[in-house]
Amino acid sequence: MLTLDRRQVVLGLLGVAVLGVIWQLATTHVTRMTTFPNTLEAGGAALAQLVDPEFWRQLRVSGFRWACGLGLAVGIGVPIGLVMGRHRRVHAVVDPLLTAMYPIPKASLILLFVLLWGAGNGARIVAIATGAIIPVIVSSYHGAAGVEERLLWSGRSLGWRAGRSMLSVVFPAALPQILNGIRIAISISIFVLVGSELLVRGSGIGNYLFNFYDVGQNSKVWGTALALAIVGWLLDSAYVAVVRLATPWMDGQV
Amino acid sequence: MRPPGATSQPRLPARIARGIAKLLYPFVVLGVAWWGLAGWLDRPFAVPTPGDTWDRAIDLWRGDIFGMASLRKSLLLTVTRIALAFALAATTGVIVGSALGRVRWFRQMFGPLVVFGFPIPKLAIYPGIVIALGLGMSSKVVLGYLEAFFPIVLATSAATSQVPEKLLWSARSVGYGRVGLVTGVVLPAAAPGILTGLRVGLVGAIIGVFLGEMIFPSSGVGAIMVGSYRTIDAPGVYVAVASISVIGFVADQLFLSGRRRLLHWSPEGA
Amino acid sequence: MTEILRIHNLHKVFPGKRRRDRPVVAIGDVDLDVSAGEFISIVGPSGCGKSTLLYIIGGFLKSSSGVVEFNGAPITGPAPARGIVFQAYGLFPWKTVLGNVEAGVATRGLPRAARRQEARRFLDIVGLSDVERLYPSALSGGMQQRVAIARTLAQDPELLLMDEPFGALDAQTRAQLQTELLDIWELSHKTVVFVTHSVEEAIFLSDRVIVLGHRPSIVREVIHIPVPRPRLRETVLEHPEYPALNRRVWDLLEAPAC
Repeated sequence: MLTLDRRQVVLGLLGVAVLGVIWQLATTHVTRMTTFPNTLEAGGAALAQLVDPEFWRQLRVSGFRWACGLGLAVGIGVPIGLVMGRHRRVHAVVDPLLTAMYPIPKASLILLFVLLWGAGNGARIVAIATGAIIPVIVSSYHGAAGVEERLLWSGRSLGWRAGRSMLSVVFPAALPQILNGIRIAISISIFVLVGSELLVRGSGIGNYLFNFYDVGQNSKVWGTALALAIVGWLLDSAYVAVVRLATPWMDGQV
Repeated sequence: MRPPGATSQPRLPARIARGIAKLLYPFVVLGVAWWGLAGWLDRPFAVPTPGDTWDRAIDLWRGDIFGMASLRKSLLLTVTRIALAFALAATTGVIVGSALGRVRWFRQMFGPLVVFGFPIPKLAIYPGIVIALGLGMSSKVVLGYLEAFFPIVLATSAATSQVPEKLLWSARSVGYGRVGLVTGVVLPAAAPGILTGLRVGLVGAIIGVFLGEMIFPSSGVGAIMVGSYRTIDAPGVYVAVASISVIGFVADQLFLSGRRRLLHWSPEGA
Repeated sequence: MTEILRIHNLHKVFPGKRRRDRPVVAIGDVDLDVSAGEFISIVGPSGCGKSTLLYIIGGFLKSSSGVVEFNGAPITGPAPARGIVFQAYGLFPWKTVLGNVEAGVATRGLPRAARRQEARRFLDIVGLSDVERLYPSALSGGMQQRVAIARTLAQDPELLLMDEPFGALDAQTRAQLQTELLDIWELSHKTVVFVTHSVEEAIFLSDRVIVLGHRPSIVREVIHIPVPRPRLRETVLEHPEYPALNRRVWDLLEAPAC
């Protein structure tokens, strides 16, 4: 999939162009859609945001929350998932809880956390963590459960006991799955971040966007949204690139 | 001698009992934890007791809370929106995903757009959608649709592109035509992957609709949650959370059992 | 004897995977004629295009140039008259064993009730009547291949193509299925084109062994197997000409590319 041939690039750009043209026509001619910005306006508004220092300031505020929430989810979720993968009873106890919590919209839980801790960073970080933790746990579980038994036996024959095995065998073997789960957790946590800031105002990029809505500056609403989308896409691409560079032995599995 | 592949099962009543216990146990645990937490904290504006929450649920159900639509009506609205969003996303998603998986020029042209669209937080576009479509049902259904569409398309595209070529050749040699190949071979072979994507899409639809109702509250269970929050009515907030949790859980379980039924032929489909 | 398959100057080229790769000549120049009721095997070194040749006969791939005719008419696509058994992925995993065989029967246009009966008959021939309600995933590799053979036989094809059908099986199952295949063939005497890696298998099963050379392949030699039928494994192995035949084929396979 990484080898781009000319045909792919040409067709890919053509696809984007087709979408752009259809959007332009729809937003200028279909009455229901004229309140959407057309392609040129949208592009311009997005660029305007990307060069606005206020956008980046708000993004930094949000980014801090996001990083803390994600870090919390990974720090707690990976060990839980790994243990679940190697101990059936733990899995039997935890898995139904995860299944029950899976369909609940985690972003909505921000309201519960604010009732408990007020509208500060604490509640927001916990909300993001609860959203991100499930994919992390599930992927760590699958990674640990799929570890080749013989690898563990090799460790045992070297005298390693359970803890050392977990660290030196299970964790590295499960790494591709874990990293994939983190990738999913990244997009979910961004979603919960934006949701929590749209619901509980105060500061952050979601609040920044909603402010434009409140004062009726529609093009800035769209501009911020698209700028945020671009940032999200860059983040995802950067993550994949860093992972591939840092783990050359994994051969592009993420 | 028993043919290979037949497994021995414990008797039916025992299996049903075990299944029900497995389903209910998380709720029992959460219920007990909640009750304990509410008692220990003693902050009814932060964590209401299950008892207070239940009372409020009854009030809401009857529509007795001033300024708030009845729970019954709201549940119906929310579920309808979710069903609509999911149905639209499922049909368009499977069709587009199949085209992406099997038609080369289509994938090369539109694949990058789908891959780009997946990590975009659709919530960020939501206010823009509301500007265009207003506060009514359609904007919430659109958000639910967008949240459901992308996982379905990606999973369908992956699954349909991985149908073994020899299977298709076998089908052709027993006379399957062009259409028959797609409906009779590609879709059944890709079904496990497609159904997994549909499950994720279902949750996406639930999340999208519910959050849509919360961010621009006008009706539905999400509006109840935000409305209660704004009036510091903690039991009301918890009623809403419990309601959406039940909706989500029931929908997910129904989907899973449907998936099991459809994939009874598959070794891992159980 | 009537000629059922005629191949003349067959040439097959695949374009390179990426723009800048050179095209791959899978088949150089192959001539092959098969008479009705014959059992022929095609052997050759890895990558020599023997499977490609089979897929062209089956109609799944198109030739780049040359004549490929079945019963006097050029081959344009797959058809039930040229049934194929693959090494794997031949069965529909969502159909039961009986359902799979019925799919083969369905090509003959019989009424519903007769279809089921016919399917059962073919399942019986391969000895799998008692698993008709199971799904392929519940069967062992050997049983799955038997079902695949039953399904293809149920099409009542004129030409039976087999693409290393026993290649994924262990040695004992493989030997067993070879014997069963010959038993079935003795009853119906269909024309069979059998592709395999195994020299022993080719000699045991066929009337003639077609040896292909390295890519770009040509027919190095056609070896006639004089062992009379019906064949038992012992009679073949103990036949006076067996060692020489065996050696001849191996020599041809190991010879360097021209």
